[in-house]
Amino acid sequence: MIRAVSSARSRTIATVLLLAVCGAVSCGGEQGENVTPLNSGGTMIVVQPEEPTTLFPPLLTSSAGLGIVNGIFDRLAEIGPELNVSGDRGFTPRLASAWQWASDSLSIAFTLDDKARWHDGAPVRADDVRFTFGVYTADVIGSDLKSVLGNIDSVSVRDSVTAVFWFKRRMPHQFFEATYHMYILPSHLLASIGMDKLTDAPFATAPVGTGRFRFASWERGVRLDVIADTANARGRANLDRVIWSFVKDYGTATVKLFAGEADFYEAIRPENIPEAARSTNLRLQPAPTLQYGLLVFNLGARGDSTVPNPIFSDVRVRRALAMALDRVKMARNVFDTLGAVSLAAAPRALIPDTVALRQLPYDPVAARALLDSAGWVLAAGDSVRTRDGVRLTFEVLAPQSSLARQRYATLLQEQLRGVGVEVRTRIMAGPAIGAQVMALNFDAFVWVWGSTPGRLGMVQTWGSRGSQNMGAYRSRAFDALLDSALVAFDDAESKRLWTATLQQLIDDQPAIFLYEPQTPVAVHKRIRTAPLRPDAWYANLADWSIDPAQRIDRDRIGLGGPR
Amino acid sequence: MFVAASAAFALLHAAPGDPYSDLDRYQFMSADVREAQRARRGLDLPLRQQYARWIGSLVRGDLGWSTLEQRAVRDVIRDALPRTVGLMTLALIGSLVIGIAIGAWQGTRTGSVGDRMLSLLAMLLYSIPEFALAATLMLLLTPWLLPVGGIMTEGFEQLAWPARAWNVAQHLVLPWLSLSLIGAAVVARYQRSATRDVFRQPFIQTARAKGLGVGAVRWHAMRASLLPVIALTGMLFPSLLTGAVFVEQIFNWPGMGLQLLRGLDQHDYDLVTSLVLGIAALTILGSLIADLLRDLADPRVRSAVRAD
Repeated sequence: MIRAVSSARSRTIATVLLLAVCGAVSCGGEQGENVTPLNSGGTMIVVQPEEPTTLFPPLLTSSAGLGIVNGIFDRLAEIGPELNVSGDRGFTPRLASAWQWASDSLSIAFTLDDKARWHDGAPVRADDVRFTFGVYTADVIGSDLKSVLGNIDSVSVRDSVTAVFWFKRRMPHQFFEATYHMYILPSHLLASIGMDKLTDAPFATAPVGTGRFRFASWERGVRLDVIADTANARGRANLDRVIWSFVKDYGTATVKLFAGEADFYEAIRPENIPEAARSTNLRLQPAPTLQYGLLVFNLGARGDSTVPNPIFSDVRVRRALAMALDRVKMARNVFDTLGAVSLAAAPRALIPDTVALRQLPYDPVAARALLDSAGWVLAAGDSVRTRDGVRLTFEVLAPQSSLARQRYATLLQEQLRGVGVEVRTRIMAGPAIGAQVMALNFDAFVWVWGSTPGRLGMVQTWGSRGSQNMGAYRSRAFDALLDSALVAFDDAESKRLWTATLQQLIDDQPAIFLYEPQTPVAVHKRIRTAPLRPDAWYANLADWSIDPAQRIDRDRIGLGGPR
Repeated sequence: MFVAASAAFALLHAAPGDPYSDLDRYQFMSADVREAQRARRGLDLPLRQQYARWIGSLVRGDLGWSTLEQRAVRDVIRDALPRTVGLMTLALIGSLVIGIAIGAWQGTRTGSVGDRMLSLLAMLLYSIPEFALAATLMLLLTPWLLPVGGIMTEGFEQLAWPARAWNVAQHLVLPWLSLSLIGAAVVARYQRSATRDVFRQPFIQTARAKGLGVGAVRWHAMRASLLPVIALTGMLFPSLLTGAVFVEQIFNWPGMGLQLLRGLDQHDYDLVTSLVLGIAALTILGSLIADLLRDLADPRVRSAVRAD
């Protein structure tokens, strides 16, 4: 009896204690709503060389601005860590708390979280979603993302918290299209401004969003502050403040990091990695990306894509050039262990079956034979091949902003010399290269392409009518495979078709796929990061925290107020 | 000013590319959107028309639109100008004070070991490019002694006023020192030579013969030897401005020099031409001030003006 009473009392005490603990950490209750997590607080300084020009989401494509905007604004739903784009598998709610597919799959109704609020306190409404779609697709706005929203016919408002996306065609990646590209904008603040004035409106530099961070201040050329939105329906961000410190000079940015004046640097260069590894304050964290480097050939004549290029229009020549390159050694030379050979026109994270892809081997002997068979022969005593009196020589452009690409250009020059091909390297400013490439006035250039989840960007980069098909690659076989891959609903079939699509590019070699950078990011040791998503390291920034036991002076800055 | 800005306009447009042609920056921008943006900023017009539009805007006081900063150029300059002018003024004062002091000391002790050592040091500093000196100072003095760059530390707004002033001063030291040391080397060479020459002048001999003390003689000599240095100040100003372009980049000092480099990098036409205009104006202003100071300091010029 005594034991039973004692046991009951123990259970009661345990229950009270459990409830107390649950109350303290808000377990089981409404998440957020002015509850301060136990590990909240602290300031993180992100140093980055590039400063965004605007914080207006439709105009942002570079990671410089997206990292900031991603904290301030929300999408309807967030893609999962596997970056699946087929259906809604892996997606988690954000502004939308639920969604429902129509029976014919041609529309999706998103129900908005009724607790979601703009940072000025106004509730988020379905009208905001409709307005956002209108902004992203307006010609006058000039968003790069308009082209990837082409399958969305319209967005309608069913009631104040339900927005319905209507699609033109049933596709596996409809849900991705509706949710991934657009950050929802506040119509109550922007609708009264003319569409043609939106991009220059004050909102573009001092935005109001719904994210777990809110905009605090922006001192141009110096820094931009965001602070935790303590009233956010999804819970306040763990960090009090994130300061984006803009340092144009890479060297100075690196010194700032080593000096302890910054906590996070995404663009740390391979040559600084050993010093970062020795630092007692920093740790290097693997950061997968969706980038790959390639040598793009111009398959059309210089300045006229309708005329075949005298060198690169022959697939045998392109394959021979690829086979003459020891890409493994090149990657080792430039990146050491911080880079790998690119397998195809997509990073490994987006290749459904890396083993199934047949690579062209490194075989200089076969490369020479292939060039011979294409008519490019090496005369006795000559070091450069010729055909009908024309020398096998071409120019490779590389940007002055990228040491890695410059080194690749030099290595290409050296390795191709071995098979009788003369390469002239030309280092130029980014805008100058762009001007030549857009005018198709180039032979080849070393470039880095940032892929989007689902490889959907391949339509633009390699499709015959793709607006970013810089090398003028045209292949009906590839177009057909890509079209089929894009509409394959069955997982196995999709995998097979995507493998065939990528293999077609390997076989055709419209570009030589050179490398995938695997450079880590440098993070201050006191910072606990959430998993870094390959498409956006900043995706879960609101979940990052700072170990209370290791806090330093700047962690006590707190939320303060907008300056 | 107009010629300098027009030359900048022509040279910038002659370079291949435009604000929207950087493939790394605008990787996902479609050709349609790119053309729309160009049309919006008038970049699709023939160069002659662009120039006419630019001149027209300038006459109306409109400096144009920064494609890099996505805001009016006047706002960009409004932010950057005080930072550069402040840094330049302090650097100029530093150059003059340090240079005159060292040069005057050398001028009275020509041929001594100290004079030779300082001459060597001045020559060394004079021959080092600003960016190399700035990078060396950064490596030597940061992070243990001074902050790496910027104009203030994070959390600045939480500091009390004395701490804020101290914080700004700390950030100023390295860019100021980088510019001042090179300026001081130039000034010291002129001052040394001028002091040495003045001490050979008859009026100094007369002053000594009259029994004036060493201090009083040096004071007279100093005043007379300042004239060439004052004239030099007019030339020093543009030289310091050029140096500021590189120093601002290395120390991330968000002034006109840093904006100029960013603008050049991204072909921000309106920003670069306006900054060139501003820098030309500052150069002319510097020369004007130097002329006025020389007129004030030189009694011969004053009397000539009066005689006219």
